Amino acid sequence: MSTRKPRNNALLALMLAVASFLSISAIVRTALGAEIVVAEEEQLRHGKVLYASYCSGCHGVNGDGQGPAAAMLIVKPRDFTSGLFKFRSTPNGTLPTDADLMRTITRGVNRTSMPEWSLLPERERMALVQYVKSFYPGFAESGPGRPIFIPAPPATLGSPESIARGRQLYEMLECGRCHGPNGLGDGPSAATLAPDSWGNPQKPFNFTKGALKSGAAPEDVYRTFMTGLNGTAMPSYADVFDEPDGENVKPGDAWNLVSYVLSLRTPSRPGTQVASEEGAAVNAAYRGDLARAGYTAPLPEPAQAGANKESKP
Amino acid sequence: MKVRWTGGVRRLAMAALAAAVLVPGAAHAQGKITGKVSLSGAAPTAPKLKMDADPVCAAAHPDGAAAEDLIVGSGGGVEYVFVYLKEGVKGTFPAKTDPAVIDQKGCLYGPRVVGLQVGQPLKFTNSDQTLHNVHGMPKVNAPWNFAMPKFVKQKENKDLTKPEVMIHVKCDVHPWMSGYVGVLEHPFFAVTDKDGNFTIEGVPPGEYTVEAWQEKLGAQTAKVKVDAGAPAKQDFTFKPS
Repeated sequence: MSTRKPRNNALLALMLAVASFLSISAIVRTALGAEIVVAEEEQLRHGKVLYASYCSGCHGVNGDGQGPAAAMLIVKPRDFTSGLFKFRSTPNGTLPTDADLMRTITRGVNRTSMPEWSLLPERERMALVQYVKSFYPGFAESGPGRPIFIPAPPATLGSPESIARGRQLYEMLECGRCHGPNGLGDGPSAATLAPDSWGNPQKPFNFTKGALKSGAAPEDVYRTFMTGLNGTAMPSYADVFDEPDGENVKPGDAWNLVSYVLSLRTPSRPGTQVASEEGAAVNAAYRGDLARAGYTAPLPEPAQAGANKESKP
Repeated sequence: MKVRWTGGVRRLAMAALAAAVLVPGAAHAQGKITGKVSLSGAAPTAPKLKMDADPVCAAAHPDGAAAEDLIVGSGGGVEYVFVYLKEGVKGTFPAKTDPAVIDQKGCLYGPRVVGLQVGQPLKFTNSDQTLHNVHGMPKVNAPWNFAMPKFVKQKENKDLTKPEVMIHVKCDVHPWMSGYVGVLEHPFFAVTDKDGNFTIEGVPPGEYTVEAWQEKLGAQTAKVKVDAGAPAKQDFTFKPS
């Protein structure tokens, strides 16, 4: 028991230190907090004004996706009040990060009526992100999910070996049940898919048509099958790849599936553009790797060179 | 004698404490509620499911499989009705740590309806050599949708943290696969067997509102008084819709 005393003293000292730090930081926080609250309210007011002019026509003043133009659109505008967001870096079933919403606003959504808003100043897009979040209380209550880790793509991305292995995975994981044996979106379950969570018809993606709705970069494909698309039939394959059994799925196999999916793109088809500096930066980074690997499938040209300013939530 | 606060003693004390907390009613005699859920009139014939789109599913049912959204047995008993105490439960009841299990077998959920407690894991197993996706569409809890390729044999959802009756679970690959999960703060629920019978065990004496829920027939409630040691009886009869 004699050894216990010094340890207890050390523990006491540590606790005192922590307690004093906490109380000091609490004072600092309170002063800072008032300013933050004011800034947040100002941002929301700003976002509301911007939303009314740019977004409400489709997404509706109440954020329910029932704007006056909604009825005329084939792909329906997102209902922000449902708390279901398709394009996320966060695990299935969770809410997107600010960076996710920022990416969607900045890039737009391929093959839909949602345009890219990269011409809006960054602070206006950030204000819109905050305002869009105000339509669903879950953002304030539980916050977004924790983004998944997307490792750097390997030099083998797009190589014939990687594409061949990706094809094996595509068959083993039965992606073709919905997306079809050759990725044309015509699998046996495609015709029987029930409406999505918003009651709209859903179609599995035809990979030969070009870019995914949320982007053309390899990273976009990776993110999509790892997190799934909330509100739709597309599930998450995170467990399959994150905890590879070594027998069917091996570490690093996720990028092989990306290689195969990207190889299905028809070069002449339009719709592969990523019109945002963020997407362009992501693609530019991959371009070097792909060129070294002898990957020749077309990747979108950078629309505008620029650093990825949106990665901070 | 000085008791040394060793790991063994600590574990023993914790176990005693846990027993005292976890089984508050252990000293009292508990009641139970039994009954039968029936559908009046002639039993409807369940339509056959069309599983051709996936040969693995079709092969599992050489004689065809019947729809399970309303199963009425001989004597009018209705299977897969979720019967639970809706109101009147007092106290807190720690969740079981072992999961409630739904097996995906022959491209059907077995069982189609389960109950579990808030915080209790919900486990899905895949006995089929085909891809299923498990798509939960709660309104209160967090939604989920994970793929279970044929070599992924089990997966647990540990995020059911709020009471919700019922959560619809489906497989988008096989549109006939549909199940329901009831999440409660207490363990007083049951799912009817093939004859429509149920027993809710270990109910503390008291007055309760009991609800019987069925996906096609809807829900009925009844006031039930439970006495110590004596089974209370409560039947439910639905009319064809």
